[in-house]
Amino acid sequence: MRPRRRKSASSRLGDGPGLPQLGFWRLGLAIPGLVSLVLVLLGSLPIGVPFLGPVLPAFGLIAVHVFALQRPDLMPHWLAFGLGLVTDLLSGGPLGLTALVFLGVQALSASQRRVLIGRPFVLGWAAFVAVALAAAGVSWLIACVYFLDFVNPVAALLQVAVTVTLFPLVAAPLLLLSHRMTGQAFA
Amino acid sequence: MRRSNKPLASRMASPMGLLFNRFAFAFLLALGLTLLVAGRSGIGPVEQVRTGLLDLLAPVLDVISRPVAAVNDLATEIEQLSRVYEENDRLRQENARLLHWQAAARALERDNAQYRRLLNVRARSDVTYITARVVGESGGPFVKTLLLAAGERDGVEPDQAVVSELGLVGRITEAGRNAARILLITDLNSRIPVMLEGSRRRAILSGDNSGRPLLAFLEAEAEVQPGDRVVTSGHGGMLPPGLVVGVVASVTENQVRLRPFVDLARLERVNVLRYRRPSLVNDRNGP
Repeated sequence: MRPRRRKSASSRLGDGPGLPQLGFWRLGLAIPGLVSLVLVLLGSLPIGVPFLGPVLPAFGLIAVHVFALQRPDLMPHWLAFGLGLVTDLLSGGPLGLTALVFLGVQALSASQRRVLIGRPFVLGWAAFVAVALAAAGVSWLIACVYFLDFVNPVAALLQVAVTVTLFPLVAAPLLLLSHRMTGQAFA
Repeated sequence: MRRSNKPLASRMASPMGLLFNRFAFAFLLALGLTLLVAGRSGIGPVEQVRTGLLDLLAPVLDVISRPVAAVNDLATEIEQLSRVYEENDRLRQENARLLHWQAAARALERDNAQYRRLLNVRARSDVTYITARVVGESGGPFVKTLLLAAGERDGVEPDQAVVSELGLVGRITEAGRNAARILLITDLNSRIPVMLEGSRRRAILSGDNSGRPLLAFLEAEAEVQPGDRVVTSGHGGMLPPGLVVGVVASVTENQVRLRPFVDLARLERVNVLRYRRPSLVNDRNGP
């Protein structure tokens, strides 16, 4: 009797509506979070590339944007917030700044699904430019209020430029990953 | 991406899910703002929590930064290999010049020791080093900090000076058990009492997140030119005096900027100075 029950359970899993539900595949659901965390950690390594010396690209921002757009169920508010918090901890900046910015980016990107899903990559790239600029603007404003000082915005703009330039390199594998996760690939 | 998003959409659109989603968003927004306010005003245990979490993250960074450091070393080696002849020639000349200086320094050291004995001068406080690996940097546009794979366990404490073989890097602002954070001299919040090495005029080295920190509060009559060396003055007692910091890079009517000796973007190992601050009480080192 037992084997039969197991069989019926697994067939139910197979019938699932495209989303992995049970057992081992639940690990697959953590992949976007883990990949994003690795990207956040990479963003704080002392890489020492001459031209990237002053600012490192915001890899975490790319991850939050791409996953919020492709799989908002796997990049919920709390995950974006948590990734921002880790970024703040690593950078030593105001605790909560990046957390709020990532939360905003997650909400913004997830709300643009209808507009952006299925469009050419270039359009997605352009949309990311807007998102990155908005994120930099908001974090610059928060930083100015936090430090009660006029913070030089050049570094923030430089970071936007570097991040936007590297966007295709980082986003392409993330897109591939989220495409595989949509549908049957992981289920 | 175009394949079956239906179940997802229906799940997201369910009234309960939507309500929960909105509540979570509002809650996290409030939490973020609270953290910012608490962190700014020092209310609550934000600092302690922060240092604790840093301790947890540092070992992870320590591991993943090792291959990065190896690649960096390789890149530097290749870069150096291409200039090895030119470099060799330059070093030969420099060596000849330095040998001359060494003789001069030895003579001066001998004289100095003699005068110190004669005058019964109090010896400078002992400075010892803790060498540690840099495992992370802020990377963000608003702060300039580094993470160090050494903490209180190794004797690192807040306010200690951090130097590389070329000069001052910054000072420790946070120290966990096995990790610490260095505030670089270029950070917006960094203020270091310094002086011009030649004229002994004092100033405050004030970071503004750019690569060229400002020399603020320099006396108006002080004569300063690009190329003047700047060292720590030791005022305030936090840093030992005489640590080299950099050279004056530019002098304009209302601001003097400094070029640090240390390439702050390419640090792999640094020394944390354990400096016993001079104090009026409990002074056992008197003459």
